[in-house]
Amino acid sequence: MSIIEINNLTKYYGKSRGIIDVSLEIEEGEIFGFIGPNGAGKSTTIRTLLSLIYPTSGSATIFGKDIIKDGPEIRKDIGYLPSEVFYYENMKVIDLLNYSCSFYKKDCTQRIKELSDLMELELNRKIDDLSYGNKKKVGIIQGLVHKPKLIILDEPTTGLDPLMQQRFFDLLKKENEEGATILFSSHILSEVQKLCNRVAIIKEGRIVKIEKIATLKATNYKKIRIETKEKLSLDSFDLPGVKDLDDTDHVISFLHNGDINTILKVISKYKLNNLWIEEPTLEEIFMHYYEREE
Amino acid sequence: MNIFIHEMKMHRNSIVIWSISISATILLFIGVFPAMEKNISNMVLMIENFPKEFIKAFNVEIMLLGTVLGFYSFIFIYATLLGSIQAMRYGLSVLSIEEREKTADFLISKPVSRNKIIISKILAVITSILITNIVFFIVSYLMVNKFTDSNLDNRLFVMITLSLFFIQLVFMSIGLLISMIPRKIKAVTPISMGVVFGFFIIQLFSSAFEDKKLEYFTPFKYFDPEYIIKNQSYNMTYVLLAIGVVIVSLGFTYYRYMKKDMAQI
Repeated sequence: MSIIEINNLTKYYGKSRGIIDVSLEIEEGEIFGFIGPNGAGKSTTIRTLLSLIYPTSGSATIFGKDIIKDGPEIRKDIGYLPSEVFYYENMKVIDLLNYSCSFYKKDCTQRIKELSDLMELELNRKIDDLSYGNKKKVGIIQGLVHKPKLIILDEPTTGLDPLMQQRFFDLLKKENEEGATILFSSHILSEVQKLCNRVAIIKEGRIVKIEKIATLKATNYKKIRIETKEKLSLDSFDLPGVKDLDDTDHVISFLHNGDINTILKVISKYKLNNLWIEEPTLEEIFMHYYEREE
Repeated sequence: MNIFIHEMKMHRNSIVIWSISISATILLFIGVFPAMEKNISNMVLMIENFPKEFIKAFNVEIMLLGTVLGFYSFIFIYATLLGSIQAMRYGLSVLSIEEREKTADFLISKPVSRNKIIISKILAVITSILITNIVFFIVSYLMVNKFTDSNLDNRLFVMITLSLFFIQLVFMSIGLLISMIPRKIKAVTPISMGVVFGFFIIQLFSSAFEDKKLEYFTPFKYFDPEYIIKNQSYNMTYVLLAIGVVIVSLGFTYYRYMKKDMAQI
């Protein structure tokens, strides 16, 4: 069964573009990643699903029910973590969590304790006094406290230290094993890779590609830059699997896909000042996707 | 109910502060009354030397100042001025605060309809204003009785004092209406002060120049204590106008809030 089904969803803010013609289906039990640069429309899509904003055209259903008409009903089983968390002035962590629970008509005392122990969050502190990362934890717990069937996370890991990030991911995996479907937006590919089964790539408001993470991983692009004393001719690097070849100030840079040994053999012929082999940025991977599309 | 309780908790300090401030206008000035009562003839001589417009602007019906209710209604105007600022602030802020403080994403993503949110919030504001009025009523009643020996006309006293609540409802509705016009309200204090003093100045002008048309444009004139004392009743035209303003403002607010896109964080 599709948990989320989005049909040709379009949102304009006045004249400026939010998202255009977004269609997506997310199956029960999936961990679905939603990646794209800032301003691409990730938050717009998510906020439309939650009725924070209303679509210009198109429709969407969650659990088979219309997001606008049955909004309050649907949201009983959704947990949402906004990209930036700010909570009411002068409230203690525990007050906020209790307030959050009061909407679900469930007793969450036990669950609040479990989650706050796991995330190492003190319940009696004022939210105003918390660091950004700790506020984020309040957001996470607030989103998970009622054991939602669908968890929607908008850029969830910013501000969390690596240890907490790991715990948080483990927590999400556990929720997923217990039946929760997860929609997860991010602009960091590696983060999405760790967790998701499938990803949608969005750029300038449109879905560019929906892909299984396994397929995405198979493209083994590396970004290589070499600095040399003498000027080299670019032609020697114009090999199969090389893209975006560029030369500025004795630094040659390119993306390489294929056997790393082949390219290293070529490089080893020259006397180098410096060598960088890096993971390409998400933007660069996107670029490569667009090219394939064309 | 949970939203209502939450809102009341958020308003708690503010209710205490406003109740004290508004009651303080009575506490501070009522003490002057016994002296005023004794020397009213000298006062009349003195005040009559002021420019006519000045006297009218401040709603000083000189002879009335020598009576308890007359004096009370004179200081009551300043209580309504403060009360209006309170109500305006509540109206402006109660819905817009979620976007300003970036908590809209928290609240709206809960399983609750906007209909329920707006009703709970407006009820919380009305309750807060009501509590302020109860405190004010008790304080004024005790103080007015303490500082006068003469018989207080209880019916008129109640009518005048209740008008604070009605004026506050009008300002609350105007505040709600204004809060729904721009995409996001950045600061509540300057707008509340600006709007309330704007209406107050219109009121001063309309009194000074005895301009009846201007009166329609300022809620401060809708429940004029001087009119109440003279006619033993509210001015029904203005009462209907006040009800109209409240209904239209709340209707517009409801319509806009149900359709509004919550500002992006």
